[in-house]
Amino acid sequence: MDTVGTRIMIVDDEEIVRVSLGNWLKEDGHEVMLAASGLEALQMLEDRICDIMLLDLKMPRMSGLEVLAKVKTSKPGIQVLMMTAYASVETAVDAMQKGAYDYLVKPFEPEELKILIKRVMEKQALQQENVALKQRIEDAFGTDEIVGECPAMKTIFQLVRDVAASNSTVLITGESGTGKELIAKAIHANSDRKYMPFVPVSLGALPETLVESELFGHQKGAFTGATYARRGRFELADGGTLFLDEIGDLSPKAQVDLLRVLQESKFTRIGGTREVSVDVRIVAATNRDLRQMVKEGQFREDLFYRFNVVSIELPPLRERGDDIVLLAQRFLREFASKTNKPIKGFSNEALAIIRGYDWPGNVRELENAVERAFVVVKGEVIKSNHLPFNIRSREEQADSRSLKAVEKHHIRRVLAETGWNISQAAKALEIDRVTLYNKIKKYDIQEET
Amino acid sequence: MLAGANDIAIQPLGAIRPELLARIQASLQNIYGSTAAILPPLKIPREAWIAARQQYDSTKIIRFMTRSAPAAPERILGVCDVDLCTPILTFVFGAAEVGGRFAVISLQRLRPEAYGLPADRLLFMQRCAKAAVHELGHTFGLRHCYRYDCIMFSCCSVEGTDLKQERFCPRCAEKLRDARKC
Ligand SMILES: Nc1ncnc2c1ncn2[C@@H]1O[C@H](COP(=O)(O)OP(=O)(O)OP(=O)(O)O)[C@@H](O)[C@H]1O
Ligand SMILES: [Mg+2]
Ligand SMILES: [Zn+2]
Ligand SMILES: [Zn+2]
Repeated sequence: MDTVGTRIMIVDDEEIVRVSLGNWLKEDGHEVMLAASGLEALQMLEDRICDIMLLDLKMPRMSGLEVLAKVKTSKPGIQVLMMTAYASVETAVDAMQKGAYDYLVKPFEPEELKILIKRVMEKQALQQENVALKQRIEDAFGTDEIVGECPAMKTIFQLVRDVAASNSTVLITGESGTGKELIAKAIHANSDRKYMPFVPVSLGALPETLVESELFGHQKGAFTGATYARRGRFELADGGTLFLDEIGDLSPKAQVDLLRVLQESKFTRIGGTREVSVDVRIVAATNRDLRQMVKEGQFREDLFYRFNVVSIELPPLRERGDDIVLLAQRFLREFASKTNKPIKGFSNEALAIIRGYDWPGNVRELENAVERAFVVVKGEVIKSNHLPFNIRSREEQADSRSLKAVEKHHIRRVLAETGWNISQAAKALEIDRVTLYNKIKKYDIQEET
Repeated sequence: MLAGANDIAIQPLGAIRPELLARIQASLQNIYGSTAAILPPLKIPREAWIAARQQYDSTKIIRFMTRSAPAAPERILGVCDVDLCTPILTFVFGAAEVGGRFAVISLQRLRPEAYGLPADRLLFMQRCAKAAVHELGHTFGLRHCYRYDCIMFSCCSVEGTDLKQERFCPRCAEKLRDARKC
């Protein structure tokens, strides 16, 4: 069982119209029947049934209107869409009065046809069958598993599950790299919108002049170079989730524009006249302190309250305790699985440094640090000297005030670099091996494991 | 090297940049796991031109390919850089015979410049590759998928193409496997 589509009959005297349209509908998953004349169509309907009929208005012998009349009396359940050339729109309107569902003016936009078919299907409640089918299919793509064992993250996961089912606007705050986008995706993936688009838009990266076009799209020819119409992010996200990232960076004008759409749920494309209404779930994020910005008059208070219906605040990585280590190990496993490098894990010392560092760039910085270490490591274990310099230097600075401490660190690093080859290390340090042994003992330097 | 059975061939229609063909080839080989030979280019057939609309008829292009194609490759993807439509639709990004042998894609609406945006070569090539994988998917009998991130998702806009991944969702991947078994 494969066909989730509708049975559609195309009635048109032109062969290429039947074939091209039939093929297009087949690509879309519909079952297609082709009839070259009204008579053939009526004959086919004697022993077969269709849900929708795409009926050409102007055909030799039996006209579309005649076919329509017959279909509407014998098979009233079939929804008829008339296809007409521009000249005969009046007749098409006439056809509507005679029971046609709607009409299309040739040539029509693919989107237009799609929407019409969808509307008919909804009307015939076939759509429900589709939805049921969709729900039976397990979501194997999923979002990447999110790591978090600390109480703060556990609370957030619960909140994500609770809020996903609703349509509430969610505001996610947190320092850079704390996983705001990841959480936004998780909200989408846990909602019943999950098969519809998750559309991110990074407002901070956009020049003010482009915000409007990015969000609302433009009509063909709206400005020089706009050869084709562009669909804005709001339209793209219809039925799904729109992730407005970095809302703290919105210009005053963009704030006004956005407020209007959020209030009215509709907008017009640039250069367009038709109002577009969409059904989108908004998730917004920022690493800035919006409340403070409201106080300082940089962010509209009304807009802030539009966003701040449910708020999720991601803690910085340094406050997540052992999650830091779990994340590091997880990233290492991921990198390892992508290559053939046989990496076992981190040395205890490396882990201690990772755990102790304050990670101003949060999870993203950790991910990058692990990747770097993964690239430079030669053996099977990632040791402290493989970590990026700024991360281990922090720890070194802390106890490197005395000459002794500096000496200890230096020896330790040279030993690590030479893989604890004493002769080589002694040579590099320009001391003899016995002296080196003595210093190792004195400073209690141990090989990392 | 001559393309043999089970193989895909890429048929440039008109001049297409080698770099782009190579990108499409790499994607097809990667996704479908078969070789994808690049055939010598053919001229776009005159008969497909619709003067009144200043566009080419994708159905006629596929018919032309059916007549002029080499016998060996199991599937052939036409690549052209002209705007495509059908007698009844204002435009199409591409077309394919569902469960058949031929498909075609157009590059015209894949360039950011066509939407008044700055050029972006990598994005453009990625879109071309996605279009190619999608249309060929139809020749394996695959229909459109309702998952927005699946390559078989049907979007009537290039912005929607950008949301798709260059791969099949598990369900479409399974259908593809089934289709290839027989
Ligand atoms: N809890 C987590 N588990 C696994 N991976 C995570 C987690 N949090 C973040 N990441 C990863 O860290 C990286 C940064 O996350 P993300 O882009 O969501 O952060 P952000 O808060 O949106 O950052 P920015 O403020 O810079 O936009 C991503 O690669 C993401 O997959
Ligand atoms: Mg982000
Ligand atoms: Zn398609
Ligand atoms: Zn799919």
